[in-house]
Amino acid sequence: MRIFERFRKHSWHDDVSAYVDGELAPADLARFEATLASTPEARDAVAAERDARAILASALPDLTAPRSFALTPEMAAANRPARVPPVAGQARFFSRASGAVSVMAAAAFFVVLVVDTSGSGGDDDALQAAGGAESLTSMAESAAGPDLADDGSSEDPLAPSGAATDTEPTEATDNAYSTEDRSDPDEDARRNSTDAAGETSALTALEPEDRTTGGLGAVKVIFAIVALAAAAAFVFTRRLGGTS
Amino acid sequence: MVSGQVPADDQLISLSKDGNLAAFNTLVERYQGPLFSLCVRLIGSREAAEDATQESFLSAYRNLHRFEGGNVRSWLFRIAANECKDELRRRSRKDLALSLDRPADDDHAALDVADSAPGLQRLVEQSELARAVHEAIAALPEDQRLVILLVDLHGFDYHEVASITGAALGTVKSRVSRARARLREYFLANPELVDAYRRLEK
Repeated sequence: MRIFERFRKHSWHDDVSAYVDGELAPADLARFEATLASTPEARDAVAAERDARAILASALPDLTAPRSFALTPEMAAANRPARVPPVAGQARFFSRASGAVSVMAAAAFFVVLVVDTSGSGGDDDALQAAGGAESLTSMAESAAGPDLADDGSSEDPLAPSGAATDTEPTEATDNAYSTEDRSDPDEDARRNSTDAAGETSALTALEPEDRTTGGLGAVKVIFAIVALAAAAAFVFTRRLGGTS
Repeated sequence: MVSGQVPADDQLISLSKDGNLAAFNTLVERYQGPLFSLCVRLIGSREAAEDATQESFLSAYRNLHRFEGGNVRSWLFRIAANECKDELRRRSRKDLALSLDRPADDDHAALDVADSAPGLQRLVEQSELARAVHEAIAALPEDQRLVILLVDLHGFDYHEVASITGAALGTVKSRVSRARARLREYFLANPELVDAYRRLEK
């Protein structure tokens, strides 16, 4: 019980200055005012506190400066203001910018990839042509090692990359592979019928590549390059920022 | 700067950052009195306070680029408070006799009342009151002395004092409370000071 009394007394004593200075939070103010109403000692403390504050302000007015402290041109020249360190400023900017760009590029590439692999087969051949881009992406994302299979075949220069193999094989991706590699008889039949229409299987294999040169494959390559460049810039500027 | 208008502090800072020394010196003229007052009462020596005030403005000038907005007055007071702390530390290291146990320089009390006071009796009372108050302030620990000067003499609120001193708000509140408690005790032990104050206030 004595402990509580001591705590309560200590508590209102602590709030006297803040009360006189108008710095009490509303809840504390209400509590203190209740204490004031019931405790003459608290009222005396507040009165003494106000006196002390007034005496201080009255006895110690602001002084006038004994002399001018203005800076002469010589003093200013000797104490030239430092500029914001350019390296640090640029590093901060590039760090933020490259971070944002790499995130956006990665997101955009992911969207294109998802749309591409889950969409219609209209652009499926893009996957084939964009194998290089996928490999770059997989390097960038380091999810899978680069799988630029080079079997020396000009008809089928693009082995399934990490990204492509990770993706659930669809009809589209199946179609993307050249006819020579596939053992599906239906597929072969369909391809043969195309051949029968006057096109060679080699031409069939090359055609998608030609089409994707200005299509999604190119977009993916650009995205991948941007993402890689941004990631490299991000790492570089982080190091720069860390050393500055 | 538009002629005829008093330029705002942040306007002057902006111009100063562009190399306008006259703009910076306008700030100096605006705050040299308050900063000198703080320094002289923190350090207790007029000469050292002059040096600290000058060094505060030089430091502010050197570090203009660090000021990224906010209250210019608080920023200058923070610099001055740090300069004074450094000076006190230097003095402490050199083991010089600090003038904190006496009313600063002998001319200090006279300086405090120089701006007013018609009548010799009034002047004497003011001088004695100022001397006694200075004694009371000087007897406070450095941290408490700083907060009480900032709150009672320079009118900063607790949040601003926390920003200037780098202390937590609760610490500021506690320091003000302890400093005032000491001052109250001092005035209770010297009731003639309170009487003198009341006479002067009439």
